[in-house]
Amino acid sequence: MLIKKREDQVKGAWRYIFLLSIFSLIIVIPYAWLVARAFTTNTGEFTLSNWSFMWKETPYFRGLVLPVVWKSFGLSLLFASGTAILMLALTIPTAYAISRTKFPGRPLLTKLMIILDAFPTVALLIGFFYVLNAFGLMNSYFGVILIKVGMSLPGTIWLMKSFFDHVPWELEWAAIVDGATRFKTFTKIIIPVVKPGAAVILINSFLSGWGEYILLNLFIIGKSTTMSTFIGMTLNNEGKIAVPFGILAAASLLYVIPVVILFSISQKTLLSVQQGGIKN
Amino acid sequence: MSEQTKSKPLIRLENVSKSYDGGKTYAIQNFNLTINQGDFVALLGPSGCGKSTTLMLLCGLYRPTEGNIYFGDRLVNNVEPKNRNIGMVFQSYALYPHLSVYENIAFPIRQQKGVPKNELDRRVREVAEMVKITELLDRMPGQLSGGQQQRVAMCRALVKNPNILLLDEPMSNLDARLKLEIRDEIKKLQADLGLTSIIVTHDQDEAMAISNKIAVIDDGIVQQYADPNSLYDMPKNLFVASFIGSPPMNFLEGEVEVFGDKVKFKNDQDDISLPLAMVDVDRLTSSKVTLGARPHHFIFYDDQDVPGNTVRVHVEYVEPLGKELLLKCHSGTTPVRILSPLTDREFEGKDIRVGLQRSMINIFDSETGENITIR
Repeated sequence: MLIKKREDQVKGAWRYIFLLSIFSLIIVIPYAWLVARAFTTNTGEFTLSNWSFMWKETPYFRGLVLPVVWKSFGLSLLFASGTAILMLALTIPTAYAISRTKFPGRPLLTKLMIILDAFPTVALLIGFFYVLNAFGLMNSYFGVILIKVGMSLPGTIWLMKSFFDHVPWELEWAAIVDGATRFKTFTKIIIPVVKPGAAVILINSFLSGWGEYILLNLFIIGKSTTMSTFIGMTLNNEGKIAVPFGILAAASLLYVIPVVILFSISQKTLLSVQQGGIKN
Repeated sequence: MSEQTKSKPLIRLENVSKSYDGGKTYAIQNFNLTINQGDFVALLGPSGCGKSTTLMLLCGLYRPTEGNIYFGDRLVNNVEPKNRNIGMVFQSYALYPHLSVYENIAFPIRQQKGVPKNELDRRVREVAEMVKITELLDRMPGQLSGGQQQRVAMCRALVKNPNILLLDEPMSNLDARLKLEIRDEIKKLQADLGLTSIIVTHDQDEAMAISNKIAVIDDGIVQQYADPNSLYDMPKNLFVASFIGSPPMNFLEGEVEVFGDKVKFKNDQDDISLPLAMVDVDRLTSSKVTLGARPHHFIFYDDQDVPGNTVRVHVEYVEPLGKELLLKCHSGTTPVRILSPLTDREFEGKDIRVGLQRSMINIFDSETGENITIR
C-alpha cells in the first residue's frame, strides 16, 4: 500500500519534471546555441577566431569598425557599479528612517512611493531630456545614473523598508542596553540582519545598469560605448546583422559572463534568510 | 554580603509618570517603588498595566515625563542605558542572529573600550560555564532551542557584571516544564550572585515562586508592594485580592452591622457573625462590604451537624484535581469555587453549608475596594 503510494508520487514527479523540461528548453536552447556558435565557424568547425575582437587592435568586419571591447566592458562595469552603489547608499538610510521614525507626511510619502514605483521610465524620456540639459548633464554617464537611480529608488526603498520592518525593536534595544552607540547598533546589528535585502538591491541595480541600453543611447548622443551598445553596433542601420554570427555570439557570451559570476557568488546571500534569535 | 548593605535602597522611583502622547494619557502615574540591594522584585500585573514601561524607564530606553529615578544616590533620569550598568533579558531574547553564541555574549564587553582579548575570553567562558552553555558557544542562535536561547540571553545580560538585572517576561516563550526549570535556575543564580533583579511578568505563579517582593500593578499604579505571603494572605484591595491566587478568591457581597463585640455580615443568603476586632469599622465608608475567602479556606461539616455562621452554596459540578476536588458552586447568583479535601464525598447537584476559616478571610469596603480586615 505504502510502496504503491510512493510509486504514484514518483510517477507524478516525472510528469512535472517533463513539463518543466519543455518550458526550460525555450530558455536553454538559445543559450546553448550561443555557446555553440561562439566557438564554431559557419561550417560548424571548432574555432577561437570569433573571439579575435578581444585582442585585435582595430577590430573590423565587413568594413565595420568595432570599438575596443575592453573599454566597453570597463565602462559598463563602472556604469553598473555606480548605479548599484548610489542606489544602495540612498536606499539604506532612507528606508531605515521611513521604517523606524514617525514624521509628518510619512503616510503620504509611503503612498507616493508606491505610485512613483509604477511610473514607466519611458513615459518621461522627453522630460528627462530637458532636465539633463538644464543641469548640464547631457552626454554624461553620471546623468544617466541619476535618472536610473531616481526612477527605481521608490521601489527599492519600499523593498528595503520591509526588510527593516522585520527587524524587531528589541534587537536594537538589546544592543543599546549592551552599551553600543546608535551608529554601532546600526552598522553592527541592523545592517548585518538586513544583508539579504541589501544584496538583492545591490545585485538588481547592478544588473539593471549592466543591461541598460535605451537611456544610454538617448542621452549619450552618438558616443555611448558600453557593452550593450557594443552588441548593438553589430547590427547595421537596417537592423540586419553586420558581423558574422560567430562574432555576435562570442560578444554576447562575453556580455553574459559577469552576470553568471555575480549570481554564483551572491546566490547564498540572496537565498539566506537570517533566522532564529527572535521568537515572536 | 552584610545585612546592612543588603537593606540599602538601590533603586528608587519617586512619583514617576510616563506619557507617550504629551500628557493626554499616562502609562504609569505617580509611581513609587523602592528596591533594596539584593532584592528580587517582580512587577506583576495584567497586560497594559504599565509594568513594561517601568522596566523601560529603569533600563533607560524611556525617560520619565515627571518624577525622579535614583540608583543609590545618583539621579539617573537622563542617563544613557550604557552608563547605567544594567543587564537585560528581553521577552524575545533578542539574540543577534548573525553572531555566534560566543560573539553574542562578548558583544557587551566589546562595547567597553580597552578590555584585553584574554580577559574578554575569560569572562565569556566564565559566564557560559555558570549558565551551563559552554558547549553551545560556537553555534548560531538559529540552531538553538527556546530554552538554550533563553540561557544565552541570560549570559549576555550577566557578562558585564551588572548592578541590576532586568528580566522582561523571560519565560513566556517556554513550555510549562522548561519554565519551571529555568525559573529555578534564575532564582538560584540571582541568590548566588546577590544580584538585584527585577522581573516583569503577568504570571502570578512565576512571580510568587521567583521573587521575594512583588509589586502588583494596575492602571499604572502600584496597588500593593509586599512579599508574596502577605500579598496572598492580606491583599490590600479588591484588585490585588482578585488578581493573586488561582483559583481566584471568592467574593460575597453584603452589608455589615455592629452588635456589641460582633460584626454581622449579611446578605439575602447568609448571616455570618465575625469578631469586631477583626474589622476596622472606622474605615467603612458605607455598610456595604465584600467578604473575600480563598477556595481552600472553607470548612466542611457532616450533613447532620452543621453549626451556624455558614455559607449556603449549591454545587453545580465537581472537578477532580487528584488530591482534592474543585467544587464549582453558586451562592445565590454569585459564583463560588471551593476546594474540598474530601475526595470521596458526593457533592454534585447538592445544596451544602460550608463554614469559613475566620482567621483567613478578608473584608473589603465595597465602595473603596480597600481591605479593612485587622489581623
